[in-house]
Amino acid sequence: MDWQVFWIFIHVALLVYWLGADISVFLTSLRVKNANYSKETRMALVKVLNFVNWFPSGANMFMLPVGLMLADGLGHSPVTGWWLVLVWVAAFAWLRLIWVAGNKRGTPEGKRLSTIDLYLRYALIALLVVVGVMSLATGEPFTAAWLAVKLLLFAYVLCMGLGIRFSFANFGPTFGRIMAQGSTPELEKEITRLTYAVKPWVLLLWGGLVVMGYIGIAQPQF
Amino acid sequence: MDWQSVLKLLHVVTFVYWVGADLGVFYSARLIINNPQYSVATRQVLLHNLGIIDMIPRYMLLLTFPVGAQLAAGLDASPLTGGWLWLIWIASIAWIVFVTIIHQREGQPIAKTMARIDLMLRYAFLAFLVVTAIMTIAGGGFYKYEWIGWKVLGFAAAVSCGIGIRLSFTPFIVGFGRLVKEGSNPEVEGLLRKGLNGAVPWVLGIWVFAAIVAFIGLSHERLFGT
Repeated sequence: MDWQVFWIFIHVALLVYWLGADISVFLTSLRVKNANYSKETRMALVKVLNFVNWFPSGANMFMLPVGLMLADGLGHSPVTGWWLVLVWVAAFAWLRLIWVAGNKRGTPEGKRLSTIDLYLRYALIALLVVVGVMSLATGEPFTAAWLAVKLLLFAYVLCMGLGIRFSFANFGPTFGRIMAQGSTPELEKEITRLTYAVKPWVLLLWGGLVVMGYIGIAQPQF
Repeated sequence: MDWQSVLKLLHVVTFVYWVGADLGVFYSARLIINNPQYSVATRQVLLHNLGIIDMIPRYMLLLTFPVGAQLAAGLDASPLTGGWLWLIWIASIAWIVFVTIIHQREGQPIAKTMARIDLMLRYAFLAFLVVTAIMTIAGGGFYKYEWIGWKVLGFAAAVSCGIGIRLSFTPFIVGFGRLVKEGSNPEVEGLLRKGLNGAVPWVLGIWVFAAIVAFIGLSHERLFGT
């Protein structure tokens, strides 16, 4: 069994469930804002949205560990052996955290876990930027420039994810109010505004993933 | 710019949107059949949403072949070069326009006729894929490398599964038409369930074959040495 081939395939499969599934989320979210639909219809659409959205959320947790397995296989990474095991354990623990946070959404516990997730993301972005810039400048700890650029792009993608999170944060509470109190022009206006506000972040995130895909395939010299 | 890499990326992106977008389609369909308590209007919106998302895998299936043919030409591994490649691109884009019109005119008699033509085209395309793949694998040449033959054969299997979905899904379409007219009743719900459950093996087939095709594409140098 050639493990490098296996990990390349998993890397692409993660893109399938991130980028590919995201389009379903995006198209469905455009429909949810339709105020002419009944509450039941909009709830059903939110159900689709919530279910499919788990796939991009999960895929982005594992993109880095799988990428590190590949980088290790190529001999470009200092993250090897037990460090890799640690990365995998952390990824599974993080997935568990966002799963529980998602299921407890709207409760104090859900909020606390969501805040932990947010700070973890800040920490990861900072780590990726530092390591990426160092690697680009000195050729260490990651020894291939294209890989360093991919790390920086992954940090960028995570930032776009935060942009989605912040710009869309009010959607849940606003939608909840529509479901509880009924539709009002103000609430519908807010839902529409939020749907448009999140769009640029989504498109910029997709763009980042596509550029990462290109760099992974072409492995250009920088 | 490394154009061969750009094409490889496009090829991967067609796979990504083909299989990835299918998730939303599949879950929406499950939601429709598992919730007979939903109003007809809600189920109609879910079906409409499903239909729009479903256009993405349909487009990708039609785009992945010209991109693959262009890649094979770039590797000097295919007789489909020059004018043939132009023809493949024009035919694929025309086919995409054709399926878009079918989608937009759904329910009209013209859409039914066009859907029949589309099915015939798929049979012809399938025959072309199978013949060229077997010629290649058997050593008779068409494509230069055996792995391309296996990829094309896997793609043909995925296209067959797509046809399988269309045929097995018919009870769902009939059932949904009756649901709109009669409302929910056990017979209608049975038809919806029969249609979707009948399509499940074909959907899984597409995912498996698309994954195999992608795997060969990503690993042919290590698996086949070419």
